[in-house]
Amino acid sequence: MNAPMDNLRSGLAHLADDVAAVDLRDRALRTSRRIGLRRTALTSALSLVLLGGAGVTAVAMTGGGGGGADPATTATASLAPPSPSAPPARPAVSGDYYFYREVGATKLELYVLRERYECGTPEPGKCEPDIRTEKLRTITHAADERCPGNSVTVSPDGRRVAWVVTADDPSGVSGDLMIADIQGGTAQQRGTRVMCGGTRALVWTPDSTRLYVGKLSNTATVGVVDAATGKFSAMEPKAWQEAETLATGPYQGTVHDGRLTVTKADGTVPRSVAYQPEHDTDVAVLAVSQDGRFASVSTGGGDPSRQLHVAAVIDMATGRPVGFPVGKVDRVWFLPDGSLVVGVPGDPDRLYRLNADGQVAAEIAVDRAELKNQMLPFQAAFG
Amino acid sequence: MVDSFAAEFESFVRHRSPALLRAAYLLTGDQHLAEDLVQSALARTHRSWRRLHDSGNAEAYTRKVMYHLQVAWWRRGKVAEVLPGELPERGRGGDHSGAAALKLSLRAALLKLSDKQRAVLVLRFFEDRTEAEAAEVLGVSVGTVKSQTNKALARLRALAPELSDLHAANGAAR
Repeated sequence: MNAPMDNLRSGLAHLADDVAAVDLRDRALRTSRRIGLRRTALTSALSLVLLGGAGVTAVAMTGGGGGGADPATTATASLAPPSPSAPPARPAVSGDYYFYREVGATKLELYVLRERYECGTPEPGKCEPDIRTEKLRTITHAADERCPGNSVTVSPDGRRVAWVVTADDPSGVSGDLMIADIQGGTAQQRGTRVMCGGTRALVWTPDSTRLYVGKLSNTATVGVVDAATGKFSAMEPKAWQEAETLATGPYQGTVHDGRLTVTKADGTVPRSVAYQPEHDTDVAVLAVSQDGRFASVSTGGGDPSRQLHVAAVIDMATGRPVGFPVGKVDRVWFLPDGSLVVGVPGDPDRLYRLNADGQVAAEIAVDRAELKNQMLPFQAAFG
Repeated sequence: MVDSFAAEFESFVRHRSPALLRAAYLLTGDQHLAEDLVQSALARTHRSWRRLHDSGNAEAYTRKVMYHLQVAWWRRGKVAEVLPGELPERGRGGDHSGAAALKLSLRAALLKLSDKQRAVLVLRFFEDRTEAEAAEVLGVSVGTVKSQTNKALARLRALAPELSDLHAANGAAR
């Protein structure tokens, strides 16, 4: 016979088996450092109080206030690292941000802003970013076409670019799939009646050899196009959706009937929280973090365009919007290590790298005159 | 010496995180919140590592911080709002459906307990702490642990009668 409560003990142990083991070392060290910096900032502020510098104190204390995230980093970045040791050097990070600029009614100029760090990793006050913008190719299209700008997509290896030009579809929602070398040269037609609307019309496979597309025909067709030959292979919608999602990350999300739901690409492990879009408009989930914890939701999605702005980033563990030290964000890219790159409304000339704790790790300023006051990048790739 | 401390802390995190996460998962009912909780507790342990290293109480300190942080987070309302989806099954291929259903019921019932009730249950029946040890971790009296345990078990019976065989009798005090 079991001892009293042995069944409860085994039930709890069984339930605890559901948690997945994760490596928390780096996260713990980051949090430790943040606590140390905050304590140092507070100590400095208190010292100023003791010195009678009330006006200066108000400035010093600003670093510790406001918002869900702790913005103490920039004010104290030059301070000595906390004991017992500084975190080890992290692997080098880099970012390639792709922009386009409309030139007249018939041209798109592609650019890439390359972000690198001389010391390998963005650390405020320590590592200078090396920002260089390079002009890529020009895409020529018929006057006032919307398809090219909404569909242009660079392959993961950064070597090719694909877009759709409206051909014989008077509605302007589909056309010829064009693929070209990103540095220039003649574009090759690799498909017809390929749809160009939505937040991601064309999705490259991770090996940069094929593209997931939808085709406009008598019945909606989805499949994959071989980038070298143009051969189209139709797929079952469910398999296509899973594969297309996996090409961009392990999770997908939807907003429906007042609920934001995130699942794995195959539809399993659903996690749902209440979400009411502003003005009750249709909205889309623009991105989900690699661990499924955070989802960025668009502003009104009635316009079938990729140029949707982020209305909120939702923490799927609490259902609450995430606060950022840079204020409201307009564009969000989630990175595999939990860090983010964000753009903010009203400032298209600057992006911010945030570490996994939400702190600003680096600012990325657009350095090329032609791209000033243009749109935020349409795509980003991270190393 | 600094490198030695760093290596010892890294070893501590690597070896103790899985056990800490298991308890944190029972406290929070959520993978991400459990990670946050353990991460925060480990960060505070790191801040005090030199002292803890000398005293040899690192794990006890980390667990105590974890429980205290969890109570503080509850007070701030940092609890998973709605998680209606199926729980991910990891490595439980041999689960019978009945056992899986019981597990879901237990998880749901735990999430409806108060902060202290859940904490005393996890300490007493998952970590197998005595009432005195649980009282020390939570910073309350033994009498409070006893009363919270009784209330928690009674509430479990009311919330999930199907779990009756999990708590056939109140646990005897040790």
